Amino acid sequence: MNIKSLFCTLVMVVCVPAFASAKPVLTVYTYDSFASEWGPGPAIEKAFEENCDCDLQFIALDSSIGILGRVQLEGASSKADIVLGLDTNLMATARETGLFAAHGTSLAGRTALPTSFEDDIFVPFDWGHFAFVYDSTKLAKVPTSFDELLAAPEDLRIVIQDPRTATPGLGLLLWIKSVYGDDAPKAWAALSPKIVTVTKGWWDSYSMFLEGEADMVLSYSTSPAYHIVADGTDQYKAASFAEGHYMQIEVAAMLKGASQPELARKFMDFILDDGFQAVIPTTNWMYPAGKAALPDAFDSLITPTKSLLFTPDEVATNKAAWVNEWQMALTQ
Amino acid sequence: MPLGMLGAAGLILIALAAIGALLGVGASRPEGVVSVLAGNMPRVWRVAGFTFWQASLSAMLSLLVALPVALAYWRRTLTWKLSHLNSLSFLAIVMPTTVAVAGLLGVWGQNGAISYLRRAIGGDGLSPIYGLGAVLLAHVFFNAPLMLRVFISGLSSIPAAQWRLAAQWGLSDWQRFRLIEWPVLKQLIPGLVTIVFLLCFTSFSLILMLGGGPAVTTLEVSIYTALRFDFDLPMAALLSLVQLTICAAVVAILARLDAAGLATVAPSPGKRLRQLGDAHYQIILLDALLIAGFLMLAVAPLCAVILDGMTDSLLRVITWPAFHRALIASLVVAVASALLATTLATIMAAARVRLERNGKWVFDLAVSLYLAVSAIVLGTGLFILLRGMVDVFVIAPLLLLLANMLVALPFAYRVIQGKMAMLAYTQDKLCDSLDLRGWRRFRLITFPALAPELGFAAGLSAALSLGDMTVIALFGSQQFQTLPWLLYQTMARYRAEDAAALALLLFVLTLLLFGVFVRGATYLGGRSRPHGRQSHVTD
Amino acid sequence: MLRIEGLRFSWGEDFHFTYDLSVASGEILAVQGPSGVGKTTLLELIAGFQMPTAGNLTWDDKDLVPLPPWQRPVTTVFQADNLFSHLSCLDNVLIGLGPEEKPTPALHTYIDEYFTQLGLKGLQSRMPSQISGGQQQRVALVRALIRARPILLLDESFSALDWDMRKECFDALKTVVASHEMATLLVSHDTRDAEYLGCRELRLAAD
Repeated sequence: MNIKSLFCTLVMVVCVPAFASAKPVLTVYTYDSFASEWGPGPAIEKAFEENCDCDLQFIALDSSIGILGRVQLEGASSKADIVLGLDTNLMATARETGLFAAHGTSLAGRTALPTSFEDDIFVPFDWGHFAFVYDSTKLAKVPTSFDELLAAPEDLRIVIQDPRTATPGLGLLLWIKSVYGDDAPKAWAALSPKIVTVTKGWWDSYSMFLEGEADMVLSYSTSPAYHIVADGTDQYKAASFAEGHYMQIEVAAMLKGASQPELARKFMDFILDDGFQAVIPTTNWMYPAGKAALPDAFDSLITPTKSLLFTPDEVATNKAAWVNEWQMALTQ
Repeated sequence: MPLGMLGAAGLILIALAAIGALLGVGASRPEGVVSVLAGNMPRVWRVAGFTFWQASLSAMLSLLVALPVALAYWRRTLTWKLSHLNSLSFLAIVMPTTVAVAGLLGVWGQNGAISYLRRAIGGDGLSPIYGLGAVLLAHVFFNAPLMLRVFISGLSSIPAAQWRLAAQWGLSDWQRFRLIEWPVLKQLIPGLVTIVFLLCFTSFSLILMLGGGPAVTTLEVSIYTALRFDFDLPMAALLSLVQLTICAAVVAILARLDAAGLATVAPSPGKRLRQLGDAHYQIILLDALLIAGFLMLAVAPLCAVILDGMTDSLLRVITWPAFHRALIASLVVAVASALLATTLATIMAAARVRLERNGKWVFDLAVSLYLAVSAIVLGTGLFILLRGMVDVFVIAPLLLLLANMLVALPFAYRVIQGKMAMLAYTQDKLCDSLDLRGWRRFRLITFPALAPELGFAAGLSAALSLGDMTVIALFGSQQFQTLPWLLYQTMARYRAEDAAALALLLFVLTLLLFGVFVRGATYLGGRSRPHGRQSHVTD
Repeated sequence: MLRIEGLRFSWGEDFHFTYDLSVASGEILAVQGPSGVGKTTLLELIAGFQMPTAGNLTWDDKDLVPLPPWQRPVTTVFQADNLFSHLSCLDNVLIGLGPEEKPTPALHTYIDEYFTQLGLKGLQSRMPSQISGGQQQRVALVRALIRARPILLLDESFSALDWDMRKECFDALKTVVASHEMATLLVSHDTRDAEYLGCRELRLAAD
């Protein structure tokens, strides 16, 4: 009896604050690191709330893939006005759900991406390149191309993520596919003996790398910048491959069922403004999609000569087959 | 008892409803579903086959580890102080998977204790262990202690008279094993193997963390990815049905062999007499090796967790408001699901006693169903069924609660059911003749006798709830966090030390909660008096 | 008066027991016979743990057959396991009182007297595991005496006691049976029991 009422009270206490404020509430679903204290969330919230006369609330879900899943799960009863943190690989699937509305913002002249980006539903907010990160004090022979990586001796230990569960994992799969095309299975077969393990999430493999359990980890080209700023060390570097690097562009969209459509459109427009973009580099550790200044730490980062990217439709059509191919290649 | 039958029917319905809801989402495109199924069957069969294979291996290995250690432990209970081994080993059973894997890697990983020792004596460190071997190791870590406890419990229930006979006749070890120990152990094996097989069959986090790649996978992983990352609900439902069918078949086959159920897993003291052969140095050496080996397997990882977590971060993490929120949410859900699971398990165990063989079989199946249906399928399916009716944010904690309760139910049921059956057998006539029935009988007679099992079942359920990483991944958000959720988020933010501290805190909380339930139940059981006051004693 | 007429109990097709007997209030009937002849079954039929296939079972002309065990005016002392291991001896006795009755000081005095009489003095607060099997049976007897139901069934209850202690139990039994006017059936395989009690014997034989 006591426990039940305590529980109900707690549930209410936990859920009610969301409705306590008198101002209109804009609910944004995003992934956890974005909304955390150390992420871009707090600064962006502050900047937006200055002009909107509203209460911006981030709901942190566990991953970008999880965001889309959650919204699909909730369907029409979803509380989200905006989802922030999908990427180009999910765009086609997201569009097909029919849950998202046109943002009505003009993107022309406001983006600073290596490739052109035009879309009526999705607005890009940051981008990056996938790259293999290594410890320059420990790794002597660093591959300068994908071919070199594949030909490296088996005692080069690398750790990667599962393409089914982690964005970088899918990124690597698409990277290899865009470089090697139909020879991708052979590439995976050559890579396989060097793979220590395939982890479920990005942090699982990155922490392994930091603890010395692997020589190279699949991560972002911007990861070294974190260490420069936060740890004051430049020992971690990204390997630059001659064939080019695969890109990730992260996007946001508003929902058709948004309870605050005006506010949502305002936020979609705000994304490419300086108030949002300036925060990104040193909190999300990605390149801003809009025109914003980069911190000094970004100067030493690699700048790939080629940026590889499949269109959202290509990804949506082929993903299942390509993942199967990957599974088969690694199961030999 | 109609309540029990209602419970069994309800359980079967819920499981089927959840799966049905997933299938229903694809109902608008039935042709699509069929073609998806047809195209994927070869892959599904392969995965199912591998899952079956690794689960069988794991169960057999656990058995091969637990049996000799149980005999060694039993031989030595008189002379060596081993009771703490028994308690320590069960920690492995209640530990959350993430924490446990961290501990295992702390011992067996490239930078673990063993590597360190090897390097210290001039050799190389261990090479990475990921793969089937690591998965089997982890499964044995989790399940051998469970088997060990049950075996020891069984051995200690052998009547003293038999031991006296063995000592007097000077039976050799082999004869003693064959005539006295084996018959008891033999009865326990089918039930144990079933449960360990099912646990390993539905293994999920462990596979992802230690499997090393897609070659080592289970149906559960496929279900999870289909559900959360492909949002292919019909596929998830179909995989669920395949999993369910295989598990149900295994349960049915082993149930034919299973006489005693899981007997009692709660601690029971045992007496042993000195036997011929105990003093032979070979036996002593063997026992020492077995027990030391077991300690290293089961206890070393726990030490690794403790050592890793004892950093300055510990003091910092405790002050986080997020930690407090997550702590309260976790506690509330864990306690509530533990109480619910234990209550339902008790009701069903009581009802089962009065059924004949077929009815018993249906009951056991209804409960064991939840060993084969994953929490995430339940959570998602039920969410879909309910989402139109209730606010999505309010539903989340309740569904988490329900899912946790259902996951814990098979364990609680098995722990309670054996003892309950035994109590019924010895006490039914006596209670009937004294007009001790219904609630009064439960309060005065059954509860005190059952208290250790109830406490253990509740504690185990709470521990399982605290360790849940799958359903909370579905429903978690900043507003509603549990400790495992917080742990996972912290891990994703370059904060290794904080994560290790959180892992330690989660582990300690699990232990505390477990202890509270066990102690609490024993206390409540001891307080039971027929007329509610102290006995009257003359002179 | 306990009346049993043509009471029949069957196992399967060909196996059955038939009973014809009566026991008056305040009377003790010793039921004797070789093992397997149906002595325990008789007591179970009277107590309500088994259902007869034919015949009459009445107490003071009231039909007992439709009544469940807890509604029958019967106390059974089984051969073993009469006590609950988590209750003290005193609590074990008190629990026989049933949900409605409350213990009075007078009752406690009676209990103490019976304890003393049966050689259990001072054992009220002991747990069953701390006393011998024979002592446990005597505690169960005290409980039966306290319940004072009109019918008392003793199923080899004292067979494990030595003769001297058995005599003391029988003495106490005789007194209480007479004062409470209980109709008592005593199953035993020792012919001395009936002799000592000086009571009627019923010899059961296989059909």
